Amino acid sequence: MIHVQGLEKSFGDRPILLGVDLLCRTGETTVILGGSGAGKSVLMKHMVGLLTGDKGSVEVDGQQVGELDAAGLRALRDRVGMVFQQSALFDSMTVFENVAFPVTQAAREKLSPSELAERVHESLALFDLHDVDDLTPAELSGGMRKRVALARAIIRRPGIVLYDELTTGLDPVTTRQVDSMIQTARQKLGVTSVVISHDIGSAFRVADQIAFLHEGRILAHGRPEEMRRSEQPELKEFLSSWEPA
Amino acid sequence: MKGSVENLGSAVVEGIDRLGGMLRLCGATLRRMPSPPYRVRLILNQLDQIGFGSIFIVSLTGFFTGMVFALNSLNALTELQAEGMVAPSMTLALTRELGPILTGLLVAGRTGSAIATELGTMRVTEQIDAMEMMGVDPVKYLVVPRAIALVICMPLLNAIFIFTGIYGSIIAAEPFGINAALFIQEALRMVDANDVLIGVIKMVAFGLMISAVAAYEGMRARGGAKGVGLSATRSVVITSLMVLALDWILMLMLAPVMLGFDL
Repeated sequence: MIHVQGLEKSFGDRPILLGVDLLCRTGETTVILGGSGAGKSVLMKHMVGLLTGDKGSVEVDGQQVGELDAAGLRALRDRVGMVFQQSALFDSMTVFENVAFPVTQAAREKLSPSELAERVHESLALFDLHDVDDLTPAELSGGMRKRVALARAIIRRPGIVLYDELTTGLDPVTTRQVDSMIQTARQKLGVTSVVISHDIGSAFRVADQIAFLHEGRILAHGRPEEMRRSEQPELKEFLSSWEPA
Repeated sequence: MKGSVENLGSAVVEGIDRLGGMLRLCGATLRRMPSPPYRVRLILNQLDQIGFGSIFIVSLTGFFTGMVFALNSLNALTELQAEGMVAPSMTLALTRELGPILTGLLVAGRTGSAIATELGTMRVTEQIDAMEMMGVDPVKYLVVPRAIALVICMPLLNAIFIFTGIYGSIIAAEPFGINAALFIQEALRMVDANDVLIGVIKMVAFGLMISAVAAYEGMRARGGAKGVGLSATRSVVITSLMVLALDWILMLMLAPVMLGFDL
């Protein structure tokens, strides 16, 4: 469970988060929906200690993230996987090496080559990726890159997976593939998911809960059907910009 | 006028901030060098890219520098009927200054820009953020292997530059009646162990500096291809200037102790 309370953050004179309260329940998919510059990525970075708030607190599975030392942060990040907007695959490595990286380099687990191959192939197979070991990220399509990035994020079976604007710049078909990949991770691994998105269609497809972040504040939070019916003016205006395909 | 002063002030503050960042990164790199994991494969990869990949350009530059420098020296020395001095003067110049400075500038240009571009691309495509998220220290994983490879390679590349420079000088001196055996005999008379040691000290310092500056600039890259290009350009400019400045500072410090004269 991730519990954000009264989180405030400014960069210089520019306030980004103005007292964010948010609860992401265990095993659910929470989508933080909002326009560009709303502070979504900044909020997500607080959840893994990549940023520290000026005020307020972020609690992950009962631990105050702001109070963790370096070892505590490492332990926290061991339990959290993150998929980045640009996939962030290491372009000097093959798909196999990328997916194996958290095991071989981060955790430095001592696995035999066959055990490692089994772990990597198991993660890749979850997202229908087969016979891609020796490909490099440059040889993959946009959708495949996202799937490999997710296979890498879940190889150590984290309890929480964070998704940062995964569907930005993708065509509608690939966007649906990415949505289905997020649902697969939740169903097969039971992970708690936090998805940052400005893609309304995608948000309604994958979310158990949606939090609408606008100008540094959560203005509405609830189940997708509650959000559709919400009378909150900024949310209504945001949702009205969406035309379902 | 006020605007110019403000611009100058902010440029100075930014310069100090940048220098502080580079020194902090250099310190962090040195602190992480002795501690495991050692990631030998990464170091070997970097030795191949930085060291082996630079041998051709360093050899070629050394050879032509030696040849041209020797021809110019011989023209002047012939007028003074002191052709015999070409071997010691060339060897001293190559060992103390030409070798370290030109090798430093070549590696700063070739390797400094490569490191800044590679790390800059990793930064703007979130690969470094991903590494941090997975609990891998980017300084340990990305900077330390490059710094170790540079520290090992630089003295060796300098040695290659000096040898090829001397070889170029011997070829240039042959038509003036100075044969190879005589050249080497005269050359060895003037150079001692301290000259070689100063070269090694300079090259180790240049190696650390190039890795810290290039990695710092790369890891600060922002905003896509343009940002990566700017960081590579800044890296080459700063490392080249710092090779010259460090050379001067090290000679000021080492010459009285190791060569017995003040600059």
